Amino acid sequence: MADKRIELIDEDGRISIAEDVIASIARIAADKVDGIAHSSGSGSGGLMSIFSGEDVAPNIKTELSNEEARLELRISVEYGYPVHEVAQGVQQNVQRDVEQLAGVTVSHVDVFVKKVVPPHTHGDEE
Amino acid sequence: MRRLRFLALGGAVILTAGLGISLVLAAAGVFSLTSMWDFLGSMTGSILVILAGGALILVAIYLLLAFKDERLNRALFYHEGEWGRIELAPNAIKELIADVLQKDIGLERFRISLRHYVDGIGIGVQTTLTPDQKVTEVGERIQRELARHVAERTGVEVSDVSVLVRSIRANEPAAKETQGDETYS
Amino acid sequence: MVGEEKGSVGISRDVVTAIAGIAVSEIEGIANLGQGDSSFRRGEGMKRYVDTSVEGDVVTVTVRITVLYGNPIHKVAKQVQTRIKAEIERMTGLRVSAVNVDVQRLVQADDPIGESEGECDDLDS
Repeated sequence: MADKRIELIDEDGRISIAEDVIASIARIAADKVDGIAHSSGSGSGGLMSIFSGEDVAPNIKTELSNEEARLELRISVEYGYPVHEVAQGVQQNVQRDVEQLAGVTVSHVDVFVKKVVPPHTHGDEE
Repeated sequence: MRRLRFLALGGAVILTAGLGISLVLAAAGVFSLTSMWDFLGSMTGSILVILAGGALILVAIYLLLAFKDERLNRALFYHEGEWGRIELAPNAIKELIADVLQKDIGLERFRISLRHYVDGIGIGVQTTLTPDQKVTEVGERIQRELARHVAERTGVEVSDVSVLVRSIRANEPAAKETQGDETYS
Repeated sequence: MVGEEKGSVGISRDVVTAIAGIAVSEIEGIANLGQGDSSFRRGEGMKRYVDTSVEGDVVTVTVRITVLYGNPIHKVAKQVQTRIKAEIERMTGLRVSAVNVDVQRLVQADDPIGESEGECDDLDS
């Protein structure tokens, strides 16, 4: 059931939106939520991180069918933020942005919280 | 890092597949074993063998770790809301609990286990105390703080907290200052 | 190609392609079609993103676009459709049967190559 794109066809022609575009919108929407961890920051680089199972940045899977999208995000949350609230914020943001910016109905946004990480200030020199 | 992982994995796959194919071909007689042996004895041959061996070891490590992560990360808790499902990895909950134990209670050594019950999660804490810590007090504190913090910070209900003090060690440094409100005696 | 009684007037596909390119150049929200990029030479680069087929006097255009984050994509795409159709019909007299828009990528305004993927620092992970 997973297509690579969403297609809307009318008398002017066909508009098709690639899966990647939907994922990008979702990623940007998720990143805006307070408490979302973006990257591993210092310390977990190097060879071992090739083997470590999960990276910190959000992973996004999309399933597109007919004119509906179902998204699954795997996120990491920063310490101090209530996890379920962050997850809900992600769900709401992603659904809203995808529907508004792509005109695609979102049936589900499933969120999996994979890690809790120390807060990382952006823009640090590593 | 994703890309690096793919590259490493891809390289390892190519090396091991190449090795496998060469072995099969050698056995099938396509290469003569003696000439292959001579080649392996040579400089380039030995280097190739070392690389292939290294790749196989890396693949083994990768598989082990991936398997470990897969088991650990199967979601312990999930919640179906109006927008979809929210799942929490056990690691995420454990890390939060560790944070509470370290920062709010001041424990240094502990082990956390989680159990999934119908009405929430059960938390098991095994820890080592110093002689100046009162076991019942610390135990009750752990139970209180965890029940509260975990519910607050994850939305998951804590149905029970069992604390096991495994040993008392004299050479642990005295209870760390957290917010200066620790009273052990 | 258009045939008329007094001889034939040929309109090459390249011309139609170029018109399509000009038509979309004013549309906000498209990252890959010469918007704000002074070094992009519209006539030639356009072919990478625009396919034109002309059969008789009927034209079909397919455009591949990269959109900028922030603009509603379906609206941008619809604009592309209507403007290309209007301009081609106006300037060539050909009939446009369909304008197909393929939205392939999305980038943010300060990151035109689209390399940052949800990460906020310089760690490549």
